[in-house]
Amino acid sequence: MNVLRSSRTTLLLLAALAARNAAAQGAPAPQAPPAVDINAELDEFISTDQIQAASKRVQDVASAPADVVVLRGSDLKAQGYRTLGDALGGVLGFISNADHAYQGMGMAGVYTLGDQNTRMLILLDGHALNSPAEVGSSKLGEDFGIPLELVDHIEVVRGPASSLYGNNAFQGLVNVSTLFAAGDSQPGFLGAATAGSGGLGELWAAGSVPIHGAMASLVVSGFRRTGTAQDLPELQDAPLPANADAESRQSAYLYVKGSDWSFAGSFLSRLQRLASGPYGSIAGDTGNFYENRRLSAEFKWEPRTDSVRWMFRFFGDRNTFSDQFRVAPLETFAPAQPDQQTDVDPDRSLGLEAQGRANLNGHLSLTFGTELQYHRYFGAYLDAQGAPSVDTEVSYGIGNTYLEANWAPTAAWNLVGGLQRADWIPGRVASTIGGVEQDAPKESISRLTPRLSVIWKPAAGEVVKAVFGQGFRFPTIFERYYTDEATQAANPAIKPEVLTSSQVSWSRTWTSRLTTHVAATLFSWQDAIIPGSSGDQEQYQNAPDAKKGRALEAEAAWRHQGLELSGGVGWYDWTYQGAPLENSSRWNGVLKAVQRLGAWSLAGDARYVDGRQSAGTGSAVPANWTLRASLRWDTARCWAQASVEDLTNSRRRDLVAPEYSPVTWMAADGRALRVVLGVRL
Amino acid sequence: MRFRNLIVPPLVCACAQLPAGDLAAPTLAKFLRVLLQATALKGVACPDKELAGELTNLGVALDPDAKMVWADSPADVARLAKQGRLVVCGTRGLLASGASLAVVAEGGRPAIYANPKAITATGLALPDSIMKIVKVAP
Repeated sequence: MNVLRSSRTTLLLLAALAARNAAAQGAPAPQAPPAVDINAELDEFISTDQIQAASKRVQDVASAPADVVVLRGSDLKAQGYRTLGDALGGVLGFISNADHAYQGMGMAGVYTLGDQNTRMLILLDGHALNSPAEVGSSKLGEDFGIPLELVDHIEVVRGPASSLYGNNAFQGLVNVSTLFAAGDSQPGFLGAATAGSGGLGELWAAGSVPIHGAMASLVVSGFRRTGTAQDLPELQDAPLPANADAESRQSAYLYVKGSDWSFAGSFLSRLQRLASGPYGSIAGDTGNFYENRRLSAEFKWEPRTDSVRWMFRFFGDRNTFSDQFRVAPLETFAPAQPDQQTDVDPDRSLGLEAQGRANLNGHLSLTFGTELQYHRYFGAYLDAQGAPSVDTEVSYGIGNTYLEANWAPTAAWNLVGGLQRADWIPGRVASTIGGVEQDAPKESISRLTPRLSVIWKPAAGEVVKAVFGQGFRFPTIFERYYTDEATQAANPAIKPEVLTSSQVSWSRTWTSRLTTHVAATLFSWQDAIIPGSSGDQEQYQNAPDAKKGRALEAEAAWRHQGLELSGGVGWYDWTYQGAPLENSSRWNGVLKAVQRLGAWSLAGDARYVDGRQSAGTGSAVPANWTLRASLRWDTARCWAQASVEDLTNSRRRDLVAPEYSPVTWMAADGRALRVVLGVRL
Repeated sequence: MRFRNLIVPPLVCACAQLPAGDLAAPTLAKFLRVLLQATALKGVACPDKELAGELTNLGVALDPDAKMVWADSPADVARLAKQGRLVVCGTRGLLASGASLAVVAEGGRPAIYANPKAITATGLALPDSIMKIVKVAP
């Protein structure tokens, strides 16, 4: 078996490297270090971004075989971003999409309508929040659950990264490092209260205490929003009631960090009411809602031998999605006794990852490992009387075996090559429709994903990269196996979609104050999974042709004393079958500013997203600006912050997925004000 | 079931328990080279093989008896500090054990924490270029 063979190869490699440890002990000849410009070297040193996401090991960003952006915690605080999606929306090429159920995010100027971020892998302290079953969560809005005040930094890989991470690292990868994991946590307590427009309120508290040589940190948080009145002219002239858009969330995160081990456990529960009435439910009825519950635990052990760093990770997740819709079979609005439909979709999983990182002779380093996951999904659709009319049970395994080599023959050159083998192996697959069990075909999916990068540093502070990478996304359980017999058909033969990216970039630090970055990228998106039809039923299928994309991006950052300015402009051109791709934006721009003065900081950002259109409905949204500003006063013991957002400039709208039909777009929340008061003990 | 064939448990290995640093070895090596230059010291003792390899690539002399030493365990830090050596480490918590400087990652970038008492005990004076970027550990 190929999977077993690749795993055996990994084992042989581990054994060979372990044996090699004993031999690699040579004393170098003493010599005087070459003279360096101390001030220039120190300035470069403290400005060197350190990342782990690109190659699953710590490296400086210039040596990473990918296009990586680092969002630092100090900037996140100064800008007053509330959600992970807010922060990522300020990264060039990212476009957010709001449907008042989940915060969606697209990259390189394109977002797939209805996608709950299955094409972007999101990690919290290295633990994947995405579920291969995709049971309804975006991870980017209030369903992230960790206050950004507690984030040390965010690493954003712009482009596919499946050669190490496998499924979901399709358009990009986001790794959020909390203060507990990335930093050197000190004992203490902090907490904050937030109040804002739309009836927004949040309370959170976090504490860290030393326990037997380890540092244990706990965050608990509660959030509620009474909602905003939705204006949906396709449904009715008057705005829908605000409380039909209400949202609430409770979350907790425990992180215990030892000398070479860590444990992370998280819980999150979120309820979002659905004013827009998706799937033909009654618009404005407070009985429509999505509910997500996520529970996860991970133990990580990172021992070391002389020249190999090991990492063993054991993890388990439970993702549960449920929804409830109030449906009027014959009328559109407010029937006397609406029917109620309920859907419950839990996915449980257990997994492990074993990884080794070896530096063989100072010039060649290897990262190798294997990750295995076992999942069990059981979803049920309840009819109007509460009886299960359809259920689907799928147990499946996911394998991810990878090897990456980094060869630096001289200080100026890095060559990085990698290869990953992924497997999706079904165990039990069965659907019960109307009391009759139906077995579905059980076809495994395997694929190889390569990576190749050439990194050239012609001079200090200058980097040229040529990066080739691929991302893939297995079909979700819904896309492959979901059927209700009447309107939706399963498609067990559906293939994973693959995104190939080829990029050339040039980064230069002109002075200690000014840096620039330009990049040109070609994309080919093959076998895209799209809604289609099979006979008179709907069915997810692979697109017959590839989506093609081109991107040109230019960014600059400038700092002087307490002022930091950064920004960029991106041009994107996506086509499918010769026509502009749905919901793709040609121009994207972002400008950020932070001015620090003692305990005070004043920050703001402006974002521009070009107009987009929907291929299916012909609906379009115009180009729009998003403006934010935040004033913060921060001392050792407390902080206070006021933030304003203007999302209504140019009537910001977002296109939405077909399930909202006849609604084709929704407006953003509008102008918002938030005030935060925090304390540290 | 085929999934069982995926189970590969490479879990058995004899491992010395050394905490990993927060910064990439090439980045740490560059800092140690600057620190050597700034303090006019001649070499560094470094038991970490990966970091030692990077130091060698930068032309830094490795000397087990050097005044400056990289250490990453509380016992080593305490022992070496008692010898009056300039102990540099990668964990802020080791400053309490007597390390002079801790080079860590904060907000995704390097940060340096200093233990003034330990630095004074070494008899060395760090130049202003270093001191202006270090943070003093509480």
